[in-house]
Amino acid sequence: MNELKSGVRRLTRVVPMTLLLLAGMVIVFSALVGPAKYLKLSNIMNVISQCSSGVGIVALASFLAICSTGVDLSLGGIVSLAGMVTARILTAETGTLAGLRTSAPGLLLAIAILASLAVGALMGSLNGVILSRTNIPSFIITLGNFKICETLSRVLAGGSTVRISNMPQFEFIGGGSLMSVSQTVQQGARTSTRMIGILPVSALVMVLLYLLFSIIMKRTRFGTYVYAIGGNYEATEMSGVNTTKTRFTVFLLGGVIAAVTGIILTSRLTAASAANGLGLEFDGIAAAVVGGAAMTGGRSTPWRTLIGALIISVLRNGFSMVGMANSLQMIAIGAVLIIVVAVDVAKNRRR
Amino acid sequence: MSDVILELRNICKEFPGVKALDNVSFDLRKGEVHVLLGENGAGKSTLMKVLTGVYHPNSGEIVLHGNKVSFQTPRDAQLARIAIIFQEFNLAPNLTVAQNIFLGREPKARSGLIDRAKMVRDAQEILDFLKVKIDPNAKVETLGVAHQQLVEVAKALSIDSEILIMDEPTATLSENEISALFDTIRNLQKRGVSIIYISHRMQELKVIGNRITVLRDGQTVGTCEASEVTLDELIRMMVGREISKVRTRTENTAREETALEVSHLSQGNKLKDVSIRVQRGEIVGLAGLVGSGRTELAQAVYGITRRDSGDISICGEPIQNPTPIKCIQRRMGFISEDRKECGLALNLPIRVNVTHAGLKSIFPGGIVDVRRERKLAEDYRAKLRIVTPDVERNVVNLSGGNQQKVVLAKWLSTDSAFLVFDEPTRGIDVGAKEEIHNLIRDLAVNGVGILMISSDLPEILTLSDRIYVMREGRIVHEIEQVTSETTQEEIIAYATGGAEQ
Amino acid sequence: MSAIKKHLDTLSRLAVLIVMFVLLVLVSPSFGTLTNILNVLRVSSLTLIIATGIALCMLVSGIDLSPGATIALTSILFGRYFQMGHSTGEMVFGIAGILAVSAVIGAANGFCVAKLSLPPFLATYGIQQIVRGLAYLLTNGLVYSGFTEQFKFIGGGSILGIHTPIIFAAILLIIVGFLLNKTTLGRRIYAVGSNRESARYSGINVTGTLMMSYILSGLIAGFAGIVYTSRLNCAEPTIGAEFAQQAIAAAAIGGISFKGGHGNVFGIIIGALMLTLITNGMTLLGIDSDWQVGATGVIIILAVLIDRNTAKKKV
Repeated sequence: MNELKSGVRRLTRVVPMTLLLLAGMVIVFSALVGPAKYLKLSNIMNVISQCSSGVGIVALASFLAICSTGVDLSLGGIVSLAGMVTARILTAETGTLAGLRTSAPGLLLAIAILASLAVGALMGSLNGVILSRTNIPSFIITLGNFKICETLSRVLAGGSTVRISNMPQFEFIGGGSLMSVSQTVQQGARTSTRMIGILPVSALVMVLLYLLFSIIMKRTRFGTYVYAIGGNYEATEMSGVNTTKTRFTVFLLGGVIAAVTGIILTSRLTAASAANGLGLEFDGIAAAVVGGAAMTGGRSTPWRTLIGALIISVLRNGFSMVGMANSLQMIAIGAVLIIVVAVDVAKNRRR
Repeated sequence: MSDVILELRNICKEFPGVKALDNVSFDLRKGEVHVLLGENGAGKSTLMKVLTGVYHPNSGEIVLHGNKVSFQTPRDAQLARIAIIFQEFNLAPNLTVAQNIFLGREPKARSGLIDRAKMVRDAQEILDFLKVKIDPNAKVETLGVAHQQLVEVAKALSIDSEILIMDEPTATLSENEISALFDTIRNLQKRGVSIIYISHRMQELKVIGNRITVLRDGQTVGTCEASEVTLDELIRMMVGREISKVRTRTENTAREETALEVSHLSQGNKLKDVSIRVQRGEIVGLAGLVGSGRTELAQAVYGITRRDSGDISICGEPIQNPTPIKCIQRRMGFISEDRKECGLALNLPIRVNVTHAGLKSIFPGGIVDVRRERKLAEDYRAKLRIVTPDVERNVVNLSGGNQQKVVLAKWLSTDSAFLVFDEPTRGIDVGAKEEIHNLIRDLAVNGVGILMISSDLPEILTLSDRIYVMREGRIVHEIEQVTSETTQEEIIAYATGGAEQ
Repeated sequence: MSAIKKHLDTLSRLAVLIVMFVLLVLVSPSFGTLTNILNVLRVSSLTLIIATGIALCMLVSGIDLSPGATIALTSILFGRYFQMGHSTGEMVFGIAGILAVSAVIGAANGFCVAKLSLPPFLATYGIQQIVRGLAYLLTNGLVYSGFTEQFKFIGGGSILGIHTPIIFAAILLIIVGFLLNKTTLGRRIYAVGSNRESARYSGINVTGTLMMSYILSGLIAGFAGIVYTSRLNCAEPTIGAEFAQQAIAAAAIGGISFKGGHGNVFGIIIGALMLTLITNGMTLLGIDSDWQVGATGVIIILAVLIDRNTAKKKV
């Protein structure tokens, strides 16, 4: 019995439990939906691009905040705002920006992306400035900031959805793929051929970000300090680590990461609406916690968080495939969030 | 051996109402282990905090290598190669041993990333020097307490410390681990590291120490060579002043009814088969060193922590799984040693705090009669002489002694028959202390059973009818009848294990 | 003298409120008319009601993000099930049923926070999600409207020229004020919020007190749902999305500390009125209503930053 236990422990050290959970979920859903329909390439790619344009990247920011014992509820708002800024710049109708659209679309795109990232950094640093210097609960400041971002996004939207058309370069970010395969699709009596991207740009961006942060968290002082703050704040401070700077950077990076999601999401939808991305902050928390982060900080890794994000995406996609109504999905996701955090809290209490 | 590297000259440190250090002088020679000995509250920790820049002295000077220095922050002290290993845990449990050792000072490779190989190598080198078998890549949380302590030693060494302060390093260690630690200390000595060693444990002082300095009431009693002093002499130095042997309570008012009966109580390695009894009308002292299990015993009785086994009955009623609510129903009260954390709602007024423990009994209908509440608070204010302009004042604005009186008022208003006082007068000025003592006596005379935990031996001796002494989770001694012949030496000897030598 | 010092917090807030009011009257004289003042009170009253519930949770150092969803669900429930045959008896039965449902929602929040020890914002968000999901589930894609005159009176009527929501808010505040100041439950709420550990040592039932706070917050949200549904005269699953944040903002301006144990009903009143005046002022200055929603975010942040009870420098 003990051997079995230690065997399982050794296995979970190499292969996280969550990966097994993910596999289990895929099996259950394919059984429910029917493997032919569920495991179809187009559905798999759909899950992946949904993940990379939604919870996938945001979860990384949630993980950073949670790892340093905080929480960031402004992420969804930043996704919305950053996406809106991108869309507004790309569709500007007057001034130099409008001119650039025809003369130098690449430059315009670069400006839009940089501006969007800058806005993310700015909103993130607003959280960071306050939370690194005071002991105000992080949820309340980031909640306030969420409102600010959402409003700015609404104001920029001017009451309607901003649609982006004729910007193939931009669409490539969220919808493009470096490699595609053609597939015959049977629709009733008609047969047609469709191209399905198997190497989506957005997924690549996501994987690259995770790779980058995996290195940052493991191999840089900043990453070590984030873990150290989560493990023992006083000890970290006593060791001469600049905890204020570290916490500030956590929220700043969170803002930038959320902005990346905003850009990808807007590109995938080729439109920005103020409602885009709202709610992702809680999906991100759920993903990070499912992945193994503890609300008390200092646990989990970027890769584990990615698995958590995939689980959330598979769950949402599976619910839709099964034909679960939106309302039931809301209920299910809410329940999952509570259960996951409750298990985490119980686990930590035992520790 | 005799070149002095550090000198503390005439250090004075005052806190509001308390003179914590009064003209203390201390010196440290290269490569020696200098033991700092004293009762709780004698000023050892304060002195070390002054040395490491946590506190700034009111007067006096610190001389390091013949130069006068002044540390503003702990970091300054670190830069001057002075490291301290605190009693409380000071590592990040989720990081590896190597990461903890070099936290804040990670070596960087040319790429700008942390040079992990070098970090692990350097950590291994230090661990090898300490002759401990710990994997530098192991997470600290997977290590036992002893190894964690050694990681702290390694961390202190990694900044190439010249002076190492160890605050009760053996408090949580087993015999084997202690001897390993002592080997380490001897190794360090050979390397020329000087060690200030704070401990209560009599047995080990003479084993590891070269010199011993005794502090008492914030003053230096004396410094002596460890080889030339006996344990009895040390105990006498710690205790010092002959307290008035006139016990103020002459008659024993103990009654037939039992207030508390604990039999064979055990809890992990904190409490081992503890049995005690308190009669109503009796004051029972519970003596012992910090960490000997005194507070843990009281907390287990009160249901703050879970016990593993043993029976508890309060005022004759057995209690299965104690909780504070059940204990209060059985007329028990608990005056915690930690007023700020466990005793008071600091940002609420005195009036409100006074009724917190007796809400149910004072206002059985659930409706608060504010006038009655105010009158109650005013009564206690007058009775206990709580110094405050009015009872609407938030407790946080009161002095320590007055805060403690509010805690007392809270428990007096519940009409308890059994009260636990955990360090009732710690950090309280002399006047208030006397008042609280009188109050405890009055309570006993009126039939309240009292269990008093105190590190203040004169307090224990003057107030108690009976005394239990605890050490390492056990009751090691009971003084059935405290008389004018009972001495502090007797208690200290049992509490420190000196009596077994 | 000491009484003034004691209430300095509340008094300074009141002073700011009066200054704001005077400024608005100066900008637009019609602002000072009785009709407009009553209107301001009416607009504030719903925020006020919800803020009172949330404040109970904040006093025990928690938060409740679920009132908006509770309002939506109760509104749907009333529209779909409890309106029934339009008789007064059935309406009363319906209202009682709705209050019971909202108490259950509050109990679910309380269970997660008190028994499972979840972070309150996460627990109440999760419950919020579930409750709103239920609201969508039960609408069947319909919007319910056309309530009875009696029911419409609850939120849309007036007595002696005073709008009913104002009267309800006033009654609720009196009840909650009494509860906080004159009952042992109130004492327990402050004790738990101020220092949970010392409350435990004092034999206060911490779990029960936390449960009570969340149940009351749920009940109050259900009550707000009834008033709001009546005033809107329709039931939709989308309503109430902004309410929780607005109420949190009102409580925060009113000096209810996020650290718990600090604040009173006068603070909530001042906070809710201030929030309404800010919105009104922005309207007067011709600021787009989109901005007004976002102003709550700025206000929450500024309020906690200014509040010396919350914004202590890290030591």
